[in-house]
Amino acid sequence: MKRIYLLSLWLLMCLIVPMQGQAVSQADLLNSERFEHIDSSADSGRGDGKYLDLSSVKSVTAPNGHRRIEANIYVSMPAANMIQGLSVQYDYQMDRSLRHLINAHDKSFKQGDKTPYISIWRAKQGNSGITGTVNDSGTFYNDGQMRQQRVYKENLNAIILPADFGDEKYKLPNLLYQKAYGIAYDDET
Amino acid sequence: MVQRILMLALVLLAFTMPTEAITYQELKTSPQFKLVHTRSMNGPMESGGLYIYLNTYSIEALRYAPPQYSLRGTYYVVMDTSYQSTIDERQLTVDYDTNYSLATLIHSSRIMNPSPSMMALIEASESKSGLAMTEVDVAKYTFDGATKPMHYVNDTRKFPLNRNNTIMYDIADAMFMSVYQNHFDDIVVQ
Repeated sequence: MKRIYLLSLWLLMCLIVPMQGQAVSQADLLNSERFEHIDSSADSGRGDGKYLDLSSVKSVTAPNGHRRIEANIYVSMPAANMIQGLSVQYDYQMDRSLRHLINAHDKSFKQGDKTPYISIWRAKQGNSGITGTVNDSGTFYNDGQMRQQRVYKENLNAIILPADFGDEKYKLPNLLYQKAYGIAYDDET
Repeated sequence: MVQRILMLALVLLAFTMPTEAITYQELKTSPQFKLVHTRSMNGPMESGGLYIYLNTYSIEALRYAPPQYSLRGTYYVVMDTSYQSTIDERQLTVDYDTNYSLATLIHSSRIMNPSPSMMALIEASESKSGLAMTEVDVAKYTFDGATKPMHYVNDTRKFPLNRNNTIMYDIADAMFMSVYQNHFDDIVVQ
């Protein structure tokens, strides 16, 4: 029984520790050299919103025809004295970038295929080519202190996922891609 | 004499009224009705489908001033589910501005910039579609064409039609296609 108790404590530690090492405060987030504010129509303009930790953006190994990027995102909610940290991984399917789809459309159009342009948009709406996963999270007070708060996985996911085409949540992975590769994902041929 | 005229008018009215009604069978079989959108519903509460037919003979051009166009037409929403078997008749008016069609946006982004940004293109396509619509309820029928009482909620204001609104977009595009034999988003304004 004691072993199970100790094991569960270890597991809890493993879950909490990764994001704890990346605790940030409201003042840190306003440092534009380290964090980039991600424009959103939902922001009130009073310091709330999403921030990208620029130093955390890194590409990781991915299967053929894909690229993967990991990064830490912080969602600041100053009025609630809360900062929600998220460690995310995005997977990019290279043959679904908008430029790739438009080029493929133009090529088949020249060969007599009359598929309308709107079908490209519908294809992107069906599968944007970007899928995201929240791998880890941490909750902090405005001053950067760890906050013990249980947040459901579904609620964490809803902050930045799904990256559907035509949705504001689609812009963040494109920005990440640009940081990692110097070109927007949708500009890839 | 007056009574006879009134009786005759009533008889004529009785004959003419049902001809305006529509049956599901007519929608499915008559070539003037084009199926423009289908959606199957297989939820725990309701199963069946939603089918939208456009009356291609009803479309009239209200404005032809390229790159701007305006069309009006009648469409039918068929709800064929375990709970509902109804046909809603509606009249739709759409203003089209092909200055904002996808083909124009793609074309102009290529001309303005040798290496155009797809993000700017996405933003342009989301900020304005070039489509604006207004619609009114006309009638409601059972599948065999009998009229059903309905609550009319008609807002005559025009509002922008987003490309994400696939149902209304498909109807608007089908109207454009039947009159001009081209998809709205494929028209290029040079």
